[in-house]
Amino acid sequence: MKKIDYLKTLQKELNNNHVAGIDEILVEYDEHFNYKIADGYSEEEIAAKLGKPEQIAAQFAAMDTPSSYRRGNKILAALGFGFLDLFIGIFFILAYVWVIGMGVFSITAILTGFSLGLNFNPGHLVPFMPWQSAVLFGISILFLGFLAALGTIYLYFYIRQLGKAFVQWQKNTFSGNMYPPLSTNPLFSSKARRFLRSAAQISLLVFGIALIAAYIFSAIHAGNLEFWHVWHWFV
Amino acid sequence: MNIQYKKGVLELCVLAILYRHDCYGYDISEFISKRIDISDGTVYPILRKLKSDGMVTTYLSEDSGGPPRKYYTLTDLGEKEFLQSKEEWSSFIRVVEEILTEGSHEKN
Repeated sequence: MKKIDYLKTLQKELNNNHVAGIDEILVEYDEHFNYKIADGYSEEEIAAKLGKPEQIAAQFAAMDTPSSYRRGNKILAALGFGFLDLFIGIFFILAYVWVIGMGVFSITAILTGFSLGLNFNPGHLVPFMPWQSAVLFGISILFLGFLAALGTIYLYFYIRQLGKAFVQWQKNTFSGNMYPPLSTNPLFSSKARRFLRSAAQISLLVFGIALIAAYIFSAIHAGNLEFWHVWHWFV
Repeated sequence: MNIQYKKGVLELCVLAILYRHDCYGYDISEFISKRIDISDGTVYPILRKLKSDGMVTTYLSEDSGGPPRKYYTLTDLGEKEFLQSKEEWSSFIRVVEEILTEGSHEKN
């Protein structure tokens, strides 16, 4: 195909595809021909290497239509996202506050566990109980604390990932899905995942066993299933 | 190579070339089609898309005495986009490489 035929066909195809700014495109391809001719290529060769005008026009159409369509929607989308971000922002703040609360709980539980187990009783906050009960309750609460700490860590990473995925989604809506969407689940290495899982299982197991053991021992020691009445707790 | 793969990567390549220095369209088309097996005309639609997305702008320059050439240059947005995409691409291919070689280890 000669240069003049190529450009004519391209113009026709661009027109058929309702592509805007056709003159600018044709200038670019005209220049391409001129450079290549100056390098000694024949017009037919150049046209063949450029690709079919129909395909080129289709590429322009595919890239053009969504972007001009998108532009009109962008203002609306920005407004909508402004409001959405306000609410989602509150959600994320609450979620992070929850993480902090859970972290504080786990630290408290761990400290309580240690003070019970080590018979450390500041200000007589801990009511009376035989030391064996204290140790068992201590172990139980200690591992409850570990469990809560693991939960805190996981929740933190989960919320962080959720935030990232949300930002990615919002970015995608503006840029016409340029990026792959992100997973909403945090990505741990398989080693970290195995560690978290077995640590959580062990914590849960020790917590349960120690709690039941503490209850059984206390009930036998006090001679009553509701041992806390015998030891005058909660009065 | 699959054509769909290439299209996604071409945008990144164009940004990379323009990150080094400003070019006119023909320059970019030549640079890429000498290295990657695509038709010469494919680069121009990509340049136009990058322009309409605000990643690049154009200016006219009459440096070599000939007719004015339309040069493409990265905008601040384009530069930011390139550096981020480059980062994402590098970590992406690292993982793909890992997966590919892990697969061959298991077979051995």
